[in-house]
Amino acid sequence: MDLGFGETGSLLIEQPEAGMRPPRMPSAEGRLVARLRQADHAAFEEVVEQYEAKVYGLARGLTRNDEDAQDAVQETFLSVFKNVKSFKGDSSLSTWIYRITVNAALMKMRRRRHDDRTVPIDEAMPTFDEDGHRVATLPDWHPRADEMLLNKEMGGHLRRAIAELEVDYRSVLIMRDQEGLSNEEVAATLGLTVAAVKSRLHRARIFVRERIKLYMLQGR
Amino acid sequence: MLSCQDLLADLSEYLDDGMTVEVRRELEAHLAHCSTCEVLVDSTRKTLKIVSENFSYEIPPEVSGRILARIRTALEDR
Repeated sequence: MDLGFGETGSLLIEQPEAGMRPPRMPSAEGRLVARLRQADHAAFEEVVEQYEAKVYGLARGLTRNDEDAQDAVQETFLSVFKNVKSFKGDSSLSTWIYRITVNAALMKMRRRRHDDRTVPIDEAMPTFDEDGHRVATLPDWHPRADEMLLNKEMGGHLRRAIAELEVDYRSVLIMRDQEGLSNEEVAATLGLTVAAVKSRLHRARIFVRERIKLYMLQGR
Repeated sequence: MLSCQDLLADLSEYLDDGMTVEVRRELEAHLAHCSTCEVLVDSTRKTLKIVSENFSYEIPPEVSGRILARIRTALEDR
């Protein structure tokens, strides 16, 4: 599924395919949702407290700027507040919230289409010879790579490499590797199969690693 | 014997421990004699570790406060 931009601003991410069994809502979560539906102030504060870090991390990673991320976070929680009565529990509360976040972030990105920094993922994939052996004319990784990765400049390159990922891949990498969601949670949030999540994650990880290698080689 | 291309195809699953013992053993046999792939696996693992341990963004406290204030206002307006 592509994370396309819808025209109406409504949820852009499709619901899981028919036949996929939705996860059962845990009772504690069910009670929290019931309180949200009753407009319990404390329940909303609990939800914000529980999810704001991940929601912000996801929005920041997708939009790639603070202002849009902050707006997306605010819109996400206001949307949760306004729409909780229509939340049927077909997915977990967290999946629902992350889905709203992704859509809010995508809407922000739509307004910044001119600021597209993505690099086609195939451009960064490694090359092989006829026997399937790696074509590497230069040493592949700097001997001091670990040290370099921890310095501020290389940290910036790493963030840039993630920002250069096409959004379909970036969304998966951010959710899975940065925010620590499981493959199943990412799949449910994005309306993908777990196999599709794994495939995108695989390519995204290789892309990031190859881009970092380029920075290291250029920086010698 | 696996090629470097075969190893790359399974890299992500390997890093996530998501494969059978048999496939893992084959990959590790390749890694034992291929320093290029050994570096690839090691460097990718370290890069991802840095992303997972250091790359989450902290939400600015004023943003958090503003969200709660907006929700409170919305609740009071109901």
